[in-house]
Amino acid sequence: MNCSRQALVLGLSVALLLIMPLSLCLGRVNGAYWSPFWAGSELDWLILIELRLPRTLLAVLVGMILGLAGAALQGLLRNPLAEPGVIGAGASAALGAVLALYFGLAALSFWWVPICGIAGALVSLSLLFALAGKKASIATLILAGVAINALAGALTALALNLAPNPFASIEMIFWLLGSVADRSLGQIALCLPFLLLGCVLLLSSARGLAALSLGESTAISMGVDMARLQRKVLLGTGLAVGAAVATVGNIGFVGLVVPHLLRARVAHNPAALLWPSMLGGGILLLLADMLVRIMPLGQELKLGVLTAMIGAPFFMWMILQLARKERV
Amino acid sequence: MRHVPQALIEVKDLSLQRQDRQVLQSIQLQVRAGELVGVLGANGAGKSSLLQVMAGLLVPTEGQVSLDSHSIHAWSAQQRARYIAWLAQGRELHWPLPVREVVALGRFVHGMHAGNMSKADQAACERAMRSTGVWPFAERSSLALSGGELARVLLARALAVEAPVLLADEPIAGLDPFYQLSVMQTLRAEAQRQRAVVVVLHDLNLAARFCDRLILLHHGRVLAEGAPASVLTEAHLATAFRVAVRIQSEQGDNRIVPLHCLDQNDA
Repeated sequence: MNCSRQALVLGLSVALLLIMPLSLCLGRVNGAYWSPFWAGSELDWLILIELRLPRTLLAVLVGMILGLAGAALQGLLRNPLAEPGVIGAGASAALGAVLALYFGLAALSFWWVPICGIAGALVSLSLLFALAGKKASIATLILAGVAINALAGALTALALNLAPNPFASIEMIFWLLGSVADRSLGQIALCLPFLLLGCVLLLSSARGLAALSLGESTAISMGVDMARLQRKVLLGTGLAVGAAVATVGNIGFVGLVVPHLLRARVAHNPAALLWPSMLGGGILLLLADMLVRIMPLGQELKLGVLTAMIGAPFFMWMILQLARKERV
Repeated sequence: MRHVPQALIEVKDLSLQRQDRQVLQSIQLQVRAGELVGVLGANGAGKSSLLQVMAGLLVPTEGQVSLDSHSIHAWSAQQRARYIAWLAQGRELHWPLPVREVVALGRFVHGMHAGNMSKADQAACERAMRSTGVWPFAERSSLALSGGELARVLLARALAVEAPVLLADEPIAGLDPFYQLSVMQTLRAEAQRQRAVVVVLHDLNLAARFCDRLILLHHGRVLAEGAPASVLTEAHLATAFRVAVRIQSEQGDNRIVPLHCLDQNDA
């Protein structure tokens, strides 16, 4: 039983390590899609360091965070249809970034968009805990998250509506669509502490999530501090997803789809799902980004658009499966 | 002869108020190692609340619960969890884990995690699964279990804790007669292993037959406590349940036959 779980984590790690060098070679240069970085020209190295390395790292990191946060949040809510977006940190990070674009801060320095995005996520997390109170039930926390989500969405729409000129609004819309392209290693370094902190918080909640399979009261009787578990998962999700969205924009459905694909492989154990989901998220988003790079379209498809195009029908299929189960 | 052991778990002057409602009032209860104590009472009499206070899930308004003469609030949640196993009334299981993994969650309080099970963990789980009769379907997904099977799997989870105190809230509700008897025998056997077992029951005859002592609650107070024969009298049952009963004595066993409902005025 546990051997197969270790094998799964090992297999996913190896797959990720194998795909990453492929990703470093993939991308259109002078009409060709394949340009290995070891070919040696100075331009190849420049492309590698400035473009493909940050892009690959970011796709892997963001995918990992989304997969992990989705699995942890589904475990906490005991609902396979939960998504990291429900707590509102992502939407608030997007709002922060859009405001940075709206007020022209982005033109001053590329640091402003992620900084404002992370600030947006932090503000929304404080608001979440302030709204729901210290001893909030999970339902109250989620309602608070939905409300914050709605508010952030409304304010983002307002910024788009009042955009000073069409170029500004196009800039905002393109940023919102979500992409890992054209980010620098510096931007990754900026969001990395938040991603790591979130990761640690989420991975350390595994034991509590396993106990929670038996319901809140039984988990408490087993010595689980529910308030602490909730804080860990929500703060971990908020920090990590907030920082991820602040850097790459909206990338949906990874947190929903990846845990679902892997759950049966770990016998539905929410604790055992965290590591595979994290690795699986990294693989899926990296593959999606590689696909985006080689799609023969006039303009490169934004990564967030592709994940939504695949994710939304998948979500519908999940609901159909669930409805079918309920009918039996 | 063994000396009379000290009470393992003791409830002293316990009162509980929830949203202006007095749920429990001045409850006293002592359960020793090796004892099986049944908690009886009508719906809403405070049985589940009593168990939840004893498990440390609810904080009493007054009075206290002590384990081995120490207040349970002085214990950390983890310590308490190793000492008291609580089986919930509602049969909650949110993910279709395999039966074996549900039971293994009982070893959680001993530090078992992500399947790193010691020999002791494995032995405790196997014992719990065998004594509840779930061993034959240990590998099955709990999605494919009947209600009665799930009830026994969750009981096995609580048994696998191997805690000195076991609190079981209606463990036989919804079970067929075979498993009602089987579960009561299991609880009896747990008591014989020097555990203190407290069980909430609605079946008066099984309570009389298997429990060493009974405590009968009425509107949050103790109406009667003691040996089954002294608690299950016509007068007590009329007050507590608003039913008229006939008590038949058969080969030393008392059978309780409910006859008809009483008006509130009759009681």
